[in-house]
Amino acid sequence: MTAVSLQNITKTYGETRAIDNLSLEIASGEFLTLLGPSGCGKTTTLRAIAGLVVQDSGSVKIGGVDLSAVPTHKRNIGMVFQSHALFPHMTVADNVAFGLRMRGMAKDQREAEVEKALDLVRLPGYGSRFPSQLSGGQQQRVALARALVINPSVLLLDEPFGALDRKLRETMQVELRELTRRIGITAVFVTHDQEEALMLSDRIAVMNAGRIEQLGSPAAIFEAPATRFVADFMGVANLIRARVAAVNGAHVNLEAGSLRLLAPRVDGLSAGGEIDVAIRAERMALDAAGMAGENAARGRILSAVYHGNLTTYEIDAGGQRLTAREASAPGTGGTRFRAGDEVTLRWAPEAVRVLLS
Amino acid sequence: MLKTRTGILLLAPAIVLMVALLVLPVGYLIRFSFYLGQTGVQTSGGFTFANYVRLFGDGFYLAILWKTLWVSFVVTVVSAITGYPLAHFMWKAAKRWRAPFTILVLSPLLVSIVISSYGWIVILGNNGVVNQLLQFLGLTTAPVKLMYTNFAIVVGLVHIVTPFMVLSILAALEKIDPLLNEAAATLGANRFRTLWHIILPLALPGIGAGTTIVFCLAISAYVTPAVMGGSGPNFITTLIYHQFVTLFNWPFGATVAAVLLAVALTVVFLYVRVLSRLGAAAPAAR
Repeated sequence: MTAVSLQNITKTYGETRAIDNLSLEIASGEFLTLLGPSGCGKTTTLRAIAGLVVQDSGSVKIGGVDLSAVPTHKRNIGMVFQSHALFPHMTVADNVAFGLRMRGMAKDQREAEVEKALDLVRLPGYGSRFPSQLSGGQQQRVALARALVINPSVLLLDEPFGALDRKLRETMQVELRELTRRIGITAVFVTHDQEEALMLSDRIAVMNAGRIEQLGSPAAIFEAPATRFVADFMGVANLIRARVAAVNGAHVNLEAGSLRLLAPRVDGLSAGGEIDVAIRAERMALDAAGMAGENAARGRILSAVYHGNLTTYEIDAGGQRLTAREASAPGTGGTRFRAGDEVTLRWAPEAVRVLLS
Repeated sequence: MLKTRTGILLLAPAIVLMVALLVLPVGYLIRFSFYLGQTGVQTSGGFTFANYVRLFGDGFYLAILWKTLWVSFVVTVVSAITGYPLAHFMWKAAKRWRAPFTILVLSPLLVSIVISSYGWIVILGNNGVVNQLLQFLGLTTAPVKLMYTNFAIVVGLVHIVTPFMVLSILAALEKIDPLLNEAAATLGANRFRTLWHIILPLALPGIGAGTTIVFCLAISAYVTPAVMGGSGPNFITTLIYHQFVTLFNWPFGATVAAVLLAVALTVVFLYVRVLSRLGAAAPAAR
């Protein structure tokens, strides 16, 4: 069943189109992430669902009801903001109870619900504290409890962990994932962090310039980016402009300068055409010996950067700049090769992803 | 250790100034109130409470004291009711309008109080704009006495003190995270309930500061009651002036001044305590 349905939403600010004719269906109980760089329209889209932004055209439906003309306070949504937006003059319990109070729930019933909600976010007994007496992670948990206690039709999260440090952020991500699955709530999450999106989501909508560039499961977005923008945003280091040399059987032969590539065949390719291909850096294997050939290139190491568990090499392969990443070898001072070393790069045909132009 | 010494050094000029210009003269004045007056600074007899007995035993003086407190209270309430919406409007207005609006709000203070008080005569006098309008509309046949009344003092004082109220409240409003409005809306609060449950409680420190300042300004105002309140001493400040300048009875004038000071301090002290108890519920945000 569809929980949230956006149909042909457009929102312009002056000359810029923050949302450009966007349509999206979110299934009941689904965790969907709007992922993209700042200014891509992800937050505006979330705010349009909340009614905090009114679209110029198109409709927002929640639970099958068109809410386009309904103000925020009548939409029954739960929202968590990056800066938590807790009411500083109220206790944790009063913050969580606020939405129930606005719905006219009796006091003793409210207290029971607040207690349940605080248990849910693992903050039992914190009701009498004030937000300023809590840590950043605890504040964000209270904000989550406040949004969930009203039993909203959809939970909206606007970069809720953006202000937290890395370790705490990871803990909160695991908790949020577990919690939303357990209570089965429909959630729309906004982030610019691809790792966060991959880890939390059932589906990811990668956004660019007010449009959805690609919509799919985390694995599909990561393994099979559809466009150059998505591939770049998902951290694919090698984006190569190539010419189709030949199409035969299950494969296509591509050429990019001196590089020769073999890739799985996709529809709509013809010999002589120009296309983009993406190869993830970790799919490139490095060897000291070897020869150039199909899906293999000789090159010279330009730089070797040690990141701890991984090492990234920049390689000049006959004028083509390539990036390879591998697990750091123990006992080698971190890096197997150094700048100036001659190496051979190899990759499998399946590692070569042909992108739509 | 160094911190304490630096603190004392930084405070020293202000302390010297306060002691020399405020504490010593006021102390001297209060000392006056415990002696009987001859003429001017001359006193007779020994230490006595006679001035206080006279002040609190005479209905005439008590009436002036009550009137001063009542008018100042009304001025405070009226300026809060007119000042809050103005401050809220400025808070919500686009940033580029902030400076022009601030100048507009401060404009009553750009004109001398004496001039603006006389200006009110043109509006509130028997032949003033308001009375001419009332008669033109046929609502009255004879002029209504507006000038030289408590109403006139309230109007004149509200005009002068409202800027202090507006700027105090605006300062508090500006500390409020605008996202709180949106958070309240997502939780089901309409604009009125958001104002009542979220914005007003958070603006309370500003309203508290504004009302304290305004009450103190009103209770100690001299020019407006003197010009707009009519002849004779009718306000505690004009009574003090009357005693010092017209009757040349410094000790009794000093007694009235001491009572004014005591009343003002007591009211402010009690008020701040009530406010801090209301505010103590929420410890200061980080």
